[in-house]
Amino acid sequence: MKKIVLASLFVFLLFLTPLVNAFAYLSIGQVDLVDYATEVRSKAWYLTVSQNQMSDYAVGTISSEEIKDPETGAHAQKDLKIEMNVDEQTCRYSIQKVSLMYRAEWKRFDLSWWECAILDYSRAEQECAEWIGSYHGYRQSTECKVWCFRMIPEAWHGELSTPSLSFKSTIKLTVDGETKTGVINRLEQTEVSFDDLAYARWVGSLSSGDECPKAKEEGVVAAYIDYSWRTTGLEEYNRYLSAYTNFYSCVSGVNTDDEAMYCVNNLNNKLDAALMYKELRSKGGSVAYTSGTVDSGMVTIKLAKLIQYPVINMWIKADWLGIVMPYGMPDIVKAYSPPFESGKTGYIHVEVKNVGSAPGSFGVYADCPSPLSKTETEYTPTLQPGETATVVLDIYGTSPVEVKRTCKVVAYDRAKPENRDETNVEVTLYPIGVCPEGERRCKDNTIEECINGAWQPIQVCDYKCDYIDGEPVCITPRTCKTDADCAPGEVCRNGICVPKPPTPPAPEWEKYLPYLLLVGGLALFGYSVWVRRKK
Amino acid sequence: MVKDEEIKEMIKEYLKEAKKELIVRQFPKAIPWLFNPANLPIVIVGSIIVFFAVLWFGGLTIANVLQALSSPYIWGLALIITSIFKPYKTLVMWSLIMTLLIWGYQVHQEVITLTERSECQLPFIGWFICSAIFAAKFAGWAWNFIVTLFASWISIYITSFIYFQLTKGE
Repeated sequence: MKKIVLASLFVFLLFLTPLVNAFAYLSIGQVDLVDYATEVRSKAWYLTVSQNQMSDYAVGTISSEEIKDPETGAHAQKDLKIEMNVDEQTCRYSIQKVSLMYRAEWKRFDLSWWECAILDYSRAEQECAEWIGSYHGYRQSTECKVWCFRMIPEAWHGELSTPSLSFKSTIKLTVDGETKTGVINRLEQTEVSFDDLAYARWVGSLSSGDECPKAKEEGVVAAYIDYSWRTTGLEEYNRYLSAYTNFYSCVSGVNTDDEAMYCVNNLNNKLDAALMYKELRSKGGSVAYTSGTVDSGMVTIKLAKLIQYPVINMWIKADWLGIVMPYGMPDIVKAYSPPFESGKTGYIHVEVKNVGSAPGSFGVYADCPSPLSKTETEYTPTLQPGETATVVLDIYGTSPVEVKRTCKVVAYDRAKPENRDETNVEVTLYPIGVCPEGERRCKDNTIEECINGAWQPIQVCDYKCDYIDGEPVCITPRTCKTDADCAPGEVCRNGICVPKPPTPPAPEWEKYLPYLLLVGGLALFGYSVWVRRKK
Repeated sequence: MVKDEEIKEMIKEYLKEAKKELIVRQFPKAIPWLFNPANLPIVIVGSIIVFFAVLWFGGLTIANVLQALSSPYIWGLALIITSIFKPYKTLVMWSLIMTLLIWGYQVHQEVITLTERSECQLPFIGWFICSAIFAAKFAGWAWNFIVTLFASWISIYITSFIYFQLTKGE
């Protein structure tokens, strides 16, 4: 019983093996989301696809989750189905007709006794010629007999050209029901485009399990007989050709019917052998078949379509496959700001945690009311899920009094700003002492008072701010008649004392005084020298 | 007959002429050592040493001296002084006089500007305040005096040297 089960299992496996080998599976290795791929002129998914075994059909359905960029965690939105099918792998040989192949026939014509007495062969030879007719023929006239031979064309001998391989393979990419097909026409081809939506490239040739046999090396020629070509043996043809070449010398020595028959049979036997079918078979076991007319003969071998693609690099437009970008989710764990002095830089320390399911980088900023400034946005490094980072925001503000303000701290995912978290932080700004509290001073024509540590204008004078007994006061203009009625530094103008105007600029001629002095000095110098030398 | 009196007069005239000639002949010895062109390198080196000595002492820079020497006042006055007074032997004196003229004028102008300041106009204490300001300014003025003196000396020396060479000391 056990033996029967094992035998059944063995038979089942034998039956199953060719089915399993019938098609191969495709799998992807590296996946990358490329910002710009020149092959598709846009953002693209870069995949490396490999085939597990040789086959005429390879298929792989790669789920969107499998097409995942390990660095960013982004994955495709749609599944991708890749099918690679070998449609055709055919060797073709054209047949070139070379020469006719003949079957020989013979007949004997005897002379009458009278003709024999006078050795007149003309009638017999005439009959021989008539018997040969339009065919090609020979005759041997001897011993009052004429042996007549005619060559009946039976076939065309043809030679096969070097083979040409017709190859066609299609790669189909199906995304969301839409299929794009790329066609490969040569085994040596290394790239294929899919309507600008995808691009495939591989290094090296496609590995085929079979190749086109060379006819001469296989000893195969062709013969056209009975209105069709057949593949025949080259060796047999060569034997026929030898017999045909020697046929004339054979018939030249014919004296008897037996000898005539021998010559004819020898040639015809070689012909029969040369016209025997000989198969042309590839290494993979595929057998050739012939087709075409006498002038367009063709030998074809359909090779086994098993094929092994090298590792294929594919670029698929990101728009086609879609991108699902996972985002991080920020969570502000802690935020605080130590009090800082007016006019100096304060800091808000913010601790951010990524509570999302994907890595994320977060921008953090604080929005503060006056007199505090809004901070610049600082960025965390890329945080893995569960990871935390602390950023420090610079904050500025000036105030003469201590102020407490509530700043809104915001953290958001840089890739998806909608993912955000907010919290409030109290910021304390304390003043620095810039003046004695309550003191007053003149600033131009304004009286200022130190209020809460800062000079604040309290009164603008109509005429002038000045000090009386050390106190700044607005003074009214004094009436006067002359400058003597006014205080030092003042002059009397229009009946009131006004500050002395600045000294008017020097008159124009004063500018030239030094040069006049110099020119005068030179003139005097020259005159003095002249007078001295004259003496 | 020539009378004794006439002879005496003739001898007197002759001696007078001879003395004149002696003076003319001995003139190179009579002129100041400074104006001998052969001594010019020593004078230049000496001036540079003096200048750097002052520089070492502080408060004076090459720029100050060059600025002073670029003033047309200095050269105009130096030419006038040389032409009229020929200060071969009185170089320092005339340098001082020229310095006092220029420097005094500058200080005078500055004093006027300072006294017009409101602080100096204050009753009673105005004078003290002004004095204090002048005292504070004194160091600057003093160094300005040295700069002017140095520039004056150089300008008078150069003009006198040229004058001496042009007139052969006559």
